Amino acid sequence: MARPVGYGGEVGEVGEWATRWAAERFAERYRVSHSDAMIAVELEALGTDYGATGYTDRAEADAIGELLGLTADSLLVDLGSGCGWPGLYLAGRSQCRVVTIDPVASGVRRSAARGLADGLAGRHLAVVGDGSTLPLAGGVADAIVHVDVLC
Amino acid sequence: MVFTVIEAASGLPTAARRRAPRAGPAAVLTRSTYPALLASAGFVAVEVVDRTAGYRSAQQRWLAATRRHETALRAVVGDPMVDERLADRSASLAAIDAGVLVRRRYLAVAPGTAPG
Repeated sequence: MARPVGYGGEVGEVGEWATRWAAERFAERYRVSHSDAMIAVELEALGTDYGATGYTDRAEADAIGELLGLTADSLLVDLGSGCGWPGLYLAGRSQCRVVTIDPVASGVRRSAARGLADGLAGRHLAVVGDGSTLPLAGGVADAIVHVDVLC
Repeated sequence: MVFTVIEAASGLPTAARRRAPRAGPAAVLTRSTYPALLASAGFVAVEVVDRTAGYRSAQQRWLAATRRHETALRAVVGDPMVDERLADRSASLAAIDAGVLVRRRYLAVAPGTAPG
C-alpha cells in the first residue's frame, strides 16, 4: 500500500486509508522489531529494547514519569503503546498499574510478554483497541501517556 | 496526560507545508491545533514544551545506527525497508533543519483533576 500523502495532505482527507496503512506498516515493523539487529539499532537510538520506533528516549520517559506524578497507587494508561514503550517502563519504575492499548495485535502480544518478563503480572493489562474504543470506565485512569503515536 | 507529537511548524508557506507529510509522518498536518483538539476532548494544555532538538538528536541516532547495522538489518528486514528508512530519516532531518517539522510535548489536564 502506497504512503498516503499527496491527496491534499490533510489527515482528514486521507482518513481511513491512512489508518489502515499505518496499521499494516506497524504490523510489519513489530514482526521484525525484536530481531537482534533491530534491538541493536533501538538501543543506540533510544537506549531502549522494547521494539520502539519513535523518538522518546529513556531520559524523556523519565521526565514524563515525573510530570505524571506516578505512584504505586496510580493507574496509568499508555494509549498507542506499540510493544509497551514507555508505559511498561514507567510502571516498572513507579510500581503503578498500567493498561497498554494498541490497535495492532502483534504489538499487544509483544507488550503482554514484556510485561510478564518485567515482573508486572497482576499489574499490567495489554489490550487491543484504540482511543475510540477504550475498555475503561470514565475517570478510572490517574494518568495517560501517549507518545509518538499521532505522529 | 502527557503526549508528544510531531507537527508542521506554524506559519509555513504553502510549499513548505506540503513538504511536511512527505518528509515527516504522513499524518503530520491537522486542520486544527492540538490545544483545540485537546479542548474538544475535555482537556486543557497546561504546558507545551518544544522537543525539536531531542527529535533531531534521536533521528540522527536512528540514522547513524541504521547505517552502522545496515548489513545485518538488510538480512533481517530486506532491502526495501532499510532503503525506505534511510531515505525517510534523511528527509526528516533535512526538514527539521529547514524548520518545517517540530516536535512538542503537551501536559494536559481534565479540569478539576491533578496533572496526569
